[in-house]
Parts: sequence; C-alpha cells; structure tokens
Amino acid sequence: MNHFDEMTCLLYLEGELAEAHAAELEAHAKECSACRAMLHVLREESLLLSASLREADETLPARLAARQETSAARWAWLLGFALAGTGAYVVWTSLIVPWQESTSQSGMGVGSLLTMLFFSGALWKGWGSMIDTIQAAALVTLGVGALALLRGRWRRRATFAAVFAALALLVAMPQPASAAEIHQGATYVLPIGQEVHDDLIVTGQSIRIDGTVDGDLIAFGQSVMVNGHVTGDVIGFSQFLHVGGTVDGNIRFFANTLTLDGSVAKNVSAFAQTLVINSDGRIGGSLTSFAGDLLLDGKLGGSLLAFNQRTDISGTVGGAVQIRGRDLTIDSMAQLNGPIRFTGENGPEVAQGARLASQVQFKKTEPHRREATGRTAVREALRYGAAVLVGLLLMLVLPGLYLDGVREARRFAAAMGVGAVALLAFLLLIVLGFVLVLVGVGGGIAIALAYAPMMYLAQIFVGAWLGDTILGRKAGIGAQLGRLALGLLILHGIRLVPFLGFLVWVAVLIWGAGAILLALYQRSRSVSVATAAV
Amino acid sequence: MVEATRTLDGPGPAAAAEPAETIARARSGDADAWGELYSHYAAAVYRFCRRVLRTREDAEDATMEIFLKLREKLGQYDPQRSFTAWLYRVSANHCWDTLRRRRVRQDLETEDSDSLPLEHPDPGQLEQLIAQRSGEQVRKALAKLPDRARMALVLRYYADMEYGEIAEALGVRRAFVGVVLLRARHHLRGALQRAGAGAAEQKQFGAARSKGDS
Repeated sequence: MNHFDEMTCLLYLEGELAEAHAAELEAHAKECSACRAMLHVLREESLLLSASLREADETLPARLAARQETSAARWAWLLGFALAGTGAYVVWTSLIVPWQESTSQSGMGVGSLLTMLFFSGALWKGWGSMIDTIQAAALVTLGVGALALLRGRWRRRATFAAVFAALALLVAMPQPASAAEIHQGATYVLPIGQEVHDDLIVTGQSIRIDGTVDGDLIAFGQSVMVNGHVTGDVIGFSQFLHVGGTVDGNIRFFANTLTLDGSVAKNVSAFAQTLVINSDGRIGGSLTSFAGDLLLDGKLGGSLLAFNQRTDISGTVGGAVQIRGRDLTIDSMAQLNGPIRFTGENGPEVAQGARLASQVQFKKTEPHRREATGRTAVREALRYGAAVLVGLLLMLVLPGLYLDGVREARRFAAAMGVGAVALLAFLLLIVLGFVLVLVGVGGGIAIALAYAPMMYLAQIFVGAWLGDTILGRKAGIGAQLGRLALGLLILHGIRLVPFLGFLVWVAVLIWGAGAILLALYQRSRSVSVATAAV
Repeated sequence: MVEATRTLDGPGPAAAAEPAETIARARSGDADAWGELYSHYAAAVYRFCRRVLRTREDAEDATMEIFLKLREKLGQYDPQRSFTAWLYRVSANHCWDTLRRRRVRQDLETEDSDSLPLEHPDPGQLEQLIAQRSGEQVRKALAKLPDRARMALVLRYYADMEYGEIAEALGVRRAFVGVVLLRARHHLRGALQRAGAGAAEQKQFGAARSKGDS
C-alpha cells in the first residue's frame, strides 16, 4: 500500500483535506505506523511552532506601552481649518491686497517675480478670478469641514472627496468663458483686413497679426508681431515681440526683446531682457517692467514701476515713477509729471533740460546689515513657529502620513534622489503648465497648488528626522512635537547663516520633498494592496 | 493518534475573549474605549510584528502604524466577525507591505527555489530535532527564513489564520498555501539543524579547551 506524502499529512492535520480524502488517510493511518509517525511528528512540530511563536519572550517596549493620545484628532481638524482660514486671510490682506494696491498706484511693493506671476496676472488674466475662486474654495472647505464635524461621524475620505470635488468644480468653472480660436503651426499670419471675432490663441514659430483680433491675443512663439488691432489683451511669451499696431487692452508678456511702436490703451507688464518703448509708442495706463534694459522714449500715460538693471527715460511719464535697479538715466527730452523715486546702487543721472515735476528721491541700496539680520531673525522665528504648528497639525490630522514621511526621510539617499528628480520634473511641469495654462487651466493650477505645500512640508519631515536622530524615538504626540520643534529650530537657525543656510535649505527642500513623495507613493501602494486583498 | 484533526485551532494570542462591548464603544468614537482596546491588543500586535519583521525598531514602528490604521478603519470592521482575525489581517497586510518595500534580492532568489522537490523527512530524526529545540532556538531559526516563509508560519501558527486568509495576505492561490507552509517548515528544520550542529561543535570545542586548560 502506498504511503501518504508529507504534504497530504500536513493538510490533513490542518483540516484542509476534502472529507473523502481525509477518511481515506485516517483508514490508512490505522494500519500504517510510518504514516502515523509522520502525522505525529508534524503535529508535534505545529505545537512547537505555536508555542515558540506565542511565547511572551519580550515585554512591550515603553514607547508602545503608553496609551496612544489620539483623542486630539477632532480639535486638530478644527484648529487646522481655523488656522488655514486665518492664514489665508492674513496672506490676502497683508500681502496680496497691498501689493496690488501699491502696484496699481505704482507704489513700491515687495513684488517678487513669483507674486507678480501668480497674483498680478502677468501671464494669465484669469488669476483675478482665480483668487475669488480660491476664496470660494476656502469657504467650501470650511463649510464641508464644519458639516462633517457637526454630524459627529468623521469620514475622512468622503470629506476629502467632497472638498476636492468642490475645488475641481470651482477651478473648472471659469474655463468656459475662455472659449477661443486656437491655431498651431510653424507660421501664422492674420492678413490685413481679416478679423477674428473671438480670443485668438496661437502657437508657432512666427506669428504675425496684421488684421484685427476682436478679443484677446494669446501667443507663444519665437517671434510675434502685432501690427494690426487687438481689442483685448496681448498675453504670451516669445523671443521677440513687436507691437506696431493698436492694443485696446493690456500687454502682459515675457520676451527677450520687446519693442513697442504702436499704442496700448491700458497697462503693460513685461519681463524682458530689453524693453524698448519707441518714440511713437504710447501706453495709456501704467508700465510694470522687469527688464535688463528699459528704454522709454515714447509716452506713458500712467505710472512706471520698474525693477530694471538699467533704465533710460527720454519720453514722457504721466504718473509716478518708482524704480529699483542699478542705473537710472533721464535724458534731456524727458518729461516726468509725477514724483520720482529711485532705489539703486548708483545715483541717477539727470540731463540738463529734462523736465521733472520734482527732484528724484534717491535711496542708495546700502547693506543695512544689523537691521536686516535683526528683522530676518524675527521673520525666521515667525516662520519657525508656523512650521512647528503646521507640523503639529500634520501629526494629528494625518498621523500615518506623518510617520511614513519621517521614516522615508531616514532613507536619506533615496529621498534626495527622488526629491531632486521630482523638483526638476515639477519645474518642467510648471513651465509646461504655463504653456498649457491657457488651454488646460486646471492642470496648471493643480500642479502649482501641489507644489507649494510640498515645498513647505519638506522642512517638517527633515526637522522631525533631525529631532528623532538627536533625541531618539519615543511615542506620544508630546514627545514627537518636542523633537519636531528641536529639529525645526536647528534648521531655521542654520537658515540664518548667510550662504550655508541657503545651501542647507535647498538640500532640506529636496530631501523633504523626496520623503513626502516616497511616503505618498508607499501609501498609494499599500492602499491598493489592501483593497486588492479585501 | 489520528483522532483530532484541528488541535491547533485553540484560541490565538489575545483571542481569549474579545471585549465586544469595548469594541462597539470604540467604533462609535469613544476615545477611552479605543485606549482600552489598545492596551488589550498592543502586546499581541507588537509580538506579531516582532516575529514577522526583521528588526525591533521596525516592529515598534509597524505596531504604531497598524494601530493608526486600525483606528482609521474601525468603521469598516464587521462586528459579526472576529475582531482578532480582523486585527491580524490588517497587521498582516501592513507588515507584508513593509517587507516588500525592504525586500532584498537574496530573498527573491531563495524563493525561486519553490519548484525544487522536497525530501521526505525521516519522522524519527525529525522528532528528535523537535524534542531538542527550545522556543528561543525556533525563533532564532525563524528569523533566518525568507520573508514569505516566515510570514506564512507566523500567520498560521501565531495569528491562527485560515488558509484562505493567508492566501489573501500573501497574495498567493489558496491551494498554494499548504506548499508555502510545508516549504517553510523544511527551511526551518534546516536552520534548526545547522544551528544545533554549530552549538554542538562549540560545546565540544569549549569542553576540549577546558580539559586542556586543567
């Protein structure tokens, strides 16, 4: 008679054998001592395994023995929303509104390129409505959060879904308004006498508008010439932009060389290496210029706000002049009707015969070292406090992600690698996003919205890692927060060191962003695995 | 000898009595009840992680993360079914995930040997081996097994999981679970034998030396 093999014996012992088969084995084992011995020894082995595995050989580590402090999550959400709301309000009232006011009055705001890009509509005229959208979205978020809290039962995922759906909806809404004619190709020419009764979006190497665009012109190309008439705005970027015709709206443009011979009824904002307003050029509103060289020979109705290396004015400016840069030259033909303020390295050169309404108020850019560091230290301290708060929130609201992120930060090399690649990819995406912004607004915004928080949160994971490294890893929100606070304190302290601080900060951003991405990736994977298993 | 077919289906660790009432309170959002549950199950989950994962630190981290997950998913737990089983299922998924993240190439290679035929053991020799080994030796040998083999043994003989659950957790077909377990046992026997041989040699060497010294 054949003996049963070890596999069958094991399955029999585990109750995994079909009844008939099991009965057969039982019958056989009654007769066969070899199979009985096999069954016996396998059972013994099972018992040994269970006993060894279940033996309480170790006491629970202290870090786990303490009860988890988890009841904080709910007020953390509330606090989070309140803080986010307050933060948004503060940013709005203290940064964006004054900046917009100051630019419109040609006052000197601390306008960085980015703020300009994002909030003043340098590239996309829809940002104004976006800001309304963001406010609305914040309200929706708050509303949904409050509702979920009131209902008492907190379904995190459902709430997120609702918030994001609302956001997506809001982002999607302004789009239909910008239905437009779209052209692609190497060369685009709108001949004289022809008219486009809509916004016109053109990409191509060479773009030439001789006819009329009854709407906005949005152009990306190597060279863009506008000799005809545009009733709306001219927006885009190119190597050369030449405007010889008439624009009834604004010009918002990135270009290497931008020349204006025609007339613009409203404002011009330009980022350019060389920006030339020729003697025939007319700007009805104000000019905001970020340029290497600005030559203003024509007539500017409103004010001039410029961040230029060199500024040369020989034309007319109706409003105030605010310039920050290296050199300012005012030629004899110039006529400046408003107050003039210049902040720069070299004193202004004003030619004889120039007609100025008032003296140039000159402020030399001097290194106010002590004051500056004092102020930066205060600002850094504020930043530090904010980061600790955000870290605390993250810890309470998304504890899983927090722990994952910190753990991934421990894998220094992987995090750095992923971070570096991601940042490059993100930069590319942002550039692409801006190209696409006019076509697929949602995509560009989504990227920008994801980018900023990631950059901000990066410091928290690195800070937490640093704290853990120094103080060890004990459980409990209090201990975690303490370590995070220490880590962040060190990071922000280093940040105050002039050159080193910058380098370290860049590393921190890359490292932390990598950790976040790794953590997100791992989480997305574990979710899919978990759902697959259920 | 062959009377009982399910001798191992006794209560697993922590399964003794499920505090159903506490679970219900925790499900309705009672933080204190959750605290009680944590105290009740933390040791069992930690030990599970300790057996499955390679380092103590990993086990501690995993335990904390598992409890965070458990709390998040508490709403999905079906009170009709065993809480312990659910607890171990979540733990198993988490740990298996962690292992797969850390998986080293070596492990993948050893698992390629799945297709090799297994030798039929000699029950007498095996019995001797089993009788001689302590729990600690078994645990040490277990730590030397490839991830999947170790995990399978822990799921079956620590967490008392059914074959179907093990199949789900490891992502293999149910019919394959028996094979995985048997192979794991063979691996373990090998490790135990080698460890025993090493220990015996050391003992002999030590004895010889002390003799020489005297």
